[in-house]
Amino acid sequence: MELRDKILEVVVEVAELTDCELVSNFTDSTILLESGLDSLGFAILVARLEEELDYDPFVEMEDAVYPTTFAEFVSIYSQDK
Amino acid sequence: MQLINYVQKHESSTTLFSYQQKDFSVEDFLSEVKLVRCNFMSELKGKKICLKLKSAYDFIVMVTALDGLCSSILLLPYDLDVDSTEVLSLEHESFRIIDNLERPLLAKIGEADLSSKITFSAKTDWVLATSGTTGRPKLINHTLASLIRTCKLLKKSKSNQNTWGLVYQPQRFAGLQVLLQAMLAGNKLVIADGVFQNQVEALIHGEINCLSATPSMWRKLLINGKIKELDFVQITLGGEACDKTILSSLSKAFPNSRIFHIYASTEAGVGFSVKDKLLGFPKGWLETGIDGVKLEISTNNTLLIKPNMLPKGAEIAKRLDKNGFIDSGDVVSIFGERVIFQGRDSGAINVGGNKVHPEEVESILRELQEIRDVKVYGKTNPMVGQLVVADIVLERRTTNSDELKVLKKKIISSAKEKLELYKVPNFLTFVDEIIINSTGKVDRNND
Repeated sequence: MELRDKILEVVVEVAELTDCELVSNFTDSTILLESGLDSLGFAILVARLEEELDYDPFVEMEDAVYPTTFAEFVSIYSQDK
Repeated sequence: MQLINYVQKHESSTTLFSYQQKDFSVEDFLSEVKLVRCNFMSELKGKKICLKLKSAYDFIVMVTALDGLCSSILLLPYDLDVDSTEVLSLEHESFRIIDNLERPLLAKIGEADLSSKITFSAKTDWVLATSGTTGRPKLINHTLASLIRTCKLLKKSKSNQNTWGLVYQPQRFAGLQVLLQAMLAGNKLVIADGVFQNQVEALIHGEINCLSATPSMWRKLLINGKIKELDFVQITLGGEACDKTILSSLSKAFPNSRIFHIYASTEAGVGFSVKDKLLGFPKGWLETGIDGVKLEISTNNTLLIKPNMLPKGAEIAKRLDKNGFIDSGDVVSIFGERVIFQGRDSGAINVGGNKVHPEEVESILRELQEIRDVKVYGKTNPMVGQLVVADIVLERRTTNSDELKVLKKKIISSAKEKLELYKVPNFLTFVDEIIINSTGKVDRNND
């Protein structure tokens, strides 16, 4: 499965888990803060992805990067480890 | 009165202990105790001694011999680490640490010496170490009198036919309660130590009908199932919060047995016991107290206890409030007419500032018939502090990933129905078993 689709799958799962309703037109350009996930949801999302991918880029990066859109979020995960 | 005097009251042929499938009568036991006294009399009289023996039987012989001979006995669990042993024995000012009972040495004493009456009248302190779940273990000064306060109450019941099992370490408070209860009543005590399978074998072989254990240990015994062939008259739970499922499973498996939930701690001694097979305790006890013990709820929702007899020493004095109450650190809530335990104040998981008691989540999950056992704990998370994780043992094991997916969904949605969202586990892991530690409790400190 493509990394983007894998991440999207986890986003949907986490939204379900936290009773958050994702915006209906969820795309690469969706702004994360407006996606419907709340802060607990994001915390779970990153922790879940760490389990699935064995990798937490937010811990490993040297300078803090705050992704705005879903595409930016995915690109952080697809950068070389 | 010394411990040896209580034992001397029983018929000499009465079986007092069963250890590693061997029975020891009152006579066998007393002769060993006297041997030890003869051996150590001159060296240890009036001294402070630390006991750290692996063999439970040797420990019992030793502690009976030293009560009345030494000024103070420090009881350390045999598996306590080297550093803590050193720190605690220094604090206790132990003259000697006895970690091995050398029997060949004992055998040298002649019959003549034995028959002479060996009596001492020292007042001996029994010093116990707390389990140290929140930092280094602390020393608590008990006396035999403070330890057997509730044993005497129980002794009045017709207990001649009772055979107790001992699955706790006798060096710790809970195990000591069982040990002293059996010794005072002259009941046979089946010492079941070692790995779990050996413990079960010993209990079955010893045909016990009374057992005190943690809810976690009872769960493990029920899952194993062999225990169901025993005919219990007394089931005691303690050390952890009970949940509905364990109480109902035990009543179903052993309908003729009394089921007590004992509320006790090394610090406060035995507080009270609940005998109506219901969760928590009656709300009325907050007004009236129970068995001379006064109860209150603190502003932090923790249970405050004022026992009628407290251990002495600085450690206890430090923990008392101005009205003489000791904070148990157990969080309680009132539901209808009952006061229900929610979990340890120090054990709460912090999810973005919200406190989650793992025990509460576990008890909700255990109500699902697909779940055999569960452990809930916190996983560190940089954004919200901690996330809730559940390790789950399924009633029917499966590795089919589709089936697991469906189960996960079912577990989560059922948790969501009964719990606030922040309490719902964010991660479910399926495991083969939930490990319990040497005190019989679930260790939630792993991340």
